Amino acid sequence: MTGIQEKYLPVIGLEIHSQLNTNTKAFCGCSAKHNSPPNTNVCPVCLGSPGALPVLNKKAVYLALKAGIALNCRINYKSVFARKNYFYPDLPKGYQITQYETPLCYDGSIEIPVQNNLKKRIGIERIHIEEDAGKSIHEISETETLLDFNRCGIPLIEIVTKPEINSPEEAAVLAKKIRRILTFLNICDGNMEEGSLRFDANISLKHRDKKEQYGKTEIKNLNSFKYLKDALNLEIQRQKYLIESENKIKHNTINYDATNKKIAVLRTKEEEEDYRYFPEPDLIPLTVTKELIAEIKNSIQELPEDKKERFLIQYQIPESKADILTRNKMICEYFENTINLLKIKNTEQFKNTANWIVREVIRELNESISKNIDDFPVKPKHLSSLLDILYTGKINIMTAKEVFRIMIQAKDEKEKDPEYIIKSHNFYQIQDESEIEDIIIGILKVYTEETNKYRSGEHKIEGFLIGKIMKLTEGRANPETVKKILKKIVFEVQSGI
Amino acid sequence: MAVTLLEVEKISKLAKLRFDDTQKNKLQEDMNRILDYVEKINELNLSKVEPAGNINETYNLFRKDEIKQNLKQEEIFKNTFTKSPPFFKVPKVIKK
Ligand SMILES: [Zn+2]
Repeated sequence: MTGIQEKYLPVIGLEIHSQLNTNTKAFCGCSAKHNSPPNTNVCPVCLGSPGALPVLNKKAVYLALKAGIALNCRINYKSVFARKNYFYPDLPKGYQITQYETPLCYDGSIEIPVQNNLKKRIGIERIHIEEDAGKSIHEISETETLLDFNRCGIPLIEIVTKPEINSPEEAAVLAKKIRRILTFLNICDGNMEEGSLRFDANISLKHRDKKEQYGKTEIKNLNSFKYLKDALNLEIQRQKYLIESENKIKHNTINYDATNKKIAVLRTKEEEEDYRYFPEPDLIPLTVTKELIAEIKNSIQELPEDKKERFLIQYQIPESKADILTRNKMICEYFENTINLLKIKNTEQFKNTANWIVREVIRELNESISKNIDDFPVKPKHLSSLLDILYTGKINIMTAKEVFRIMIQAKDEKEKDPEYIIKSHNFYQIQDESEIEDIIIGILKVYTEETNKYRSGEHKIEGFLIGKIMKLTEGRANPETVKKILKKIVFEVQSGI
Repeated sequence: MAVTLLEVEKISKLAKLRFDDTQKNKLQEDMNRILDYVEKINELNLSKVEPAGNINETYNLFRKDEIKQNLKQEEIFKNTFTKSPPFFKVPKVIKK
């Protein structure tokens, strides 16, 4: 955080470009899939062939509205698209279809945590729909630039914040929070390496005492939270230097070179009117009904941050676990469904459930092919039953993990039932302590040398003996009980072993 | 609101087009004639008419989010001379 003693206060605004999770492009039926072979997802519309007409993808509107509602925006019930004219090879039409005077969503806000447990509200200026440009490839040829138009026309939303961010750290926290909301609500896949989510930051400095505001620059195309923070820090240093040396800060575009951790001034930004925006004549105006807004509001219900806070209070689970459980909407649902199905409901069981999902379920999920919890073979019904059995002490944690592995492999419903697995594999923990005593005595007779060493103070032998006992009981004894009885026999009872 | 020669030059620069002086004068003339023509609309009283972004009176023409067949590879490059399949190509764009 920037300290009070700093002479200049950074004034930062973010523009967040986020590809919408649609199957097809914004204005044509071409696939919006990443990593397709070059120029395979193209058609006359997105290649800008004369006479081809755009038709708006309804899903894109739905997702953009969802983002607007989640970020507390007001909605423009009637909005029009605009042409932003500029000449660049990655834009075959010579203009980008975007929204200008009437963005779909405007005047929203988002809260971020700042020091001392305080919250700061950052305004959202607007969210509008636009289309992505193609990809220019400069590296392959020395004399030519190659073009791939697969990305051209993929729907984006641009989220523009008010310049109310006052440090690079705040910018990163805000960016992370927005990413979390977008991915949680399935608006965007959030993949920053593939460019699904990218940030531009505009930054200027303000003199704290003189209240003077200096010139503003824009850092383009940052695709990681770290780059965002690093680039802003570097640009703040550059601007400070310019101010101190009484140079003017020009309205420049800044490029961040992540490999060399350097910034470079690219060009003097074209003035806004140079884009010669005008209403897109090929698209009719877009209207949104109150019913659609209500439907979307209903589908959002609870945002990740609210869910996390509720989990902390309602289930008393540790924050680190709540954090992981609320990264994905479907995992949230899996967790709560499991909790609801538990027969024994207390905070210890809630913690056990959170632990089990974070440690076992998510780990298995990450190794699975689909990575989608809906396809996961162990359903909340089975997991809750396993957790209940574990809680009663009929099986120990090691056995529970074994049962869980069997459940994952199981072919039908019956074979997934933990009760059934435990019975058919004879997994029940030995409850009778005298039975365990007999087994221990038997083991100690076999390993007399080790037993004597243990008795004379070689503590590390304990693990060896417990291992032998557990092996003989096929893991069905409670290790804690085994330890207790073993100590009793070796150190208290003079049984002559 | 006559178009000046300076504005013609600015627009041609943005469009990456070059013209000689005769052409520039001709363009200036054409542009002004178009503006004069559109200016006619101001003869009407439009104080109660909302600006129209589109002459259609319909709203909301949507497409379902379903993938439609793309162009075939040979069709994609049919309208261009500057290709290097699977890419389109242009003279080197200087970046950085
Ligand atoms: Zn297309």
